[in-house]
Amino acid sequence: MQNKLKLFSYFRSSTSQRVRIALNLKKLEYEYHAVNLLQGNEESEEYTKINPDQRVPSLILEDGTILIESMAIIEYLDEVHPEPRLLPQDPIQRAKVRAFCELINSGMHPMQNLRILELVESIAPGYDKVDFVNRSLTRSFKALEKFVQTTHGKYTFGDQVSIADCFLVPQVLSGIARFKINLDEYPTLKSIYNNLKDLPEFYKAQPDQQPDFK
Amino acid sequence: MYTLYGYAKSSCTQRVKTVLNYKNLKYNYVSLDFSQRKQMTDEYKKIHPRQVLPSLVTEEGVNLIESVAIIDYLEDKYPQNSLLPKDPQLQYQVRSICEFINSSIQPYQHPLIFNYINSQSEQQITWKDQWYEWNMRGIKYIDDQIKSTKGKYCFGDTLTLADVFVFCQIDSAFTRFQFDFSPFKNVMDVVKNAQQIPEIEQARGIYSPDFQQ
Repeated sequence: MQNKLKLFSYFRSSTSQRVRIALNLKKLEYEYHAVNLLQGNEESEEYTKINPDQRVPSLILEDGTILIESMAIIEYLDEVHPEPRLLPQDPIQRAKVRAFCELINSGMHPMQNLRILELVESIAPGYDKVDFVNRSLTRSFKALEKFVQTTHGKYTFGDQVSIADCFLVPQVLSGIARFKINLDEYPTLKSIYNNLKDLPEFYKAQPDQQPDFK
Repeated sequence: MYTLYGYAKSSCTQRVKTVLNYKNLKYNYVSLDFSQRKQMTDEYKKIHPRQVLPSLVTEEGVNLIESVAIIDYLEDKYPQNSLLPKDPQLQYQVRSICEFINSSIQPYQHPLIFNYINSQSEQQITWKDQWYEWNMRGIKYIDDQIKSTKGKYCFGDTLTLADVFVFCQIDSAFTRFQFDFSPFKNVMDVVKNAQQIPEIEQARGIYSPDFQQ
């Protein structure tokens, strides 16, 4: 019997959401394994074997290979399941799409990761998490808004859904839902987000559509 | 000719320099000292909307940003002296190490973190404390990850981008704060071997014309 793809995910984790979107876009079925970041079942030995750094998401392939790091996972999926393409073929366009993803992956999301929030809490108990993250995100959302002026169509890059959209939607959602980002301040991002969020592949990947949603 | 905007103490700049060197690509170097906020100009904002380093501007005037994306572009466009395996699973393995360093170690070195903490807390931490926390945690993870795959380098005896990223991370952290990474034997073995590659050695911050101790 063929093993299925297994995704270890937390409903609210925006890095998990990126991979959920990509799997949906590639029409790849997977088993959902919920990892609870807050209750710390993430810390359990079982999950440590799968992901020593105890983060989500992890994708386990049919042959048992374990993949981590959402950007690397999605690029791998694009290599082995090329339809529909999530990265363009032209090197310059690829670089722009990747740059957009990295602006989020390394420029934005790290500041809202549970690890950093816990570290700051351990030294400055009771600090305003929302304020801390909002300051960083605001500068970055302004940069993203500027970036997409020359790239966007209906979506981040023209009228074709790409890996950039897999990164944008979860970042916008977490920014609005948890860190007081006002999307009205970023009209182009808002328009792109509104075009994407109701596409079935994106909708089904939303936190409130996951089995572990609370 | 390409123009590289960067700084001697930027590990992300060092990564791009290494790959440019390794592929024998010439470039002009423009130094922007981020300790003096030299990247915070309107002119640089047109190149990089977030005003961070590095950026690589092509001869045609196309602005390429984010070191991972720049390096992937160089790999796509210049297949000679490749640092990225063709096999998708091997390629994934290399990328996962690079992405981990790029998003789970390096960003946490940003001064905004310790500045923020110190503004909120009586207990004060230093920038060195912050770097120590995230580098030790992250390098330990990589040390464990490469245990089963390493030879001379992270992945057998073939030099890849993973080695470049590991080297640049260790080198920049050591140059700045002299941390003792010796407990991480797998990583330090890779670093020792990678340093024998002239293009990796030459890209080190200490050799950059804008380096100051």
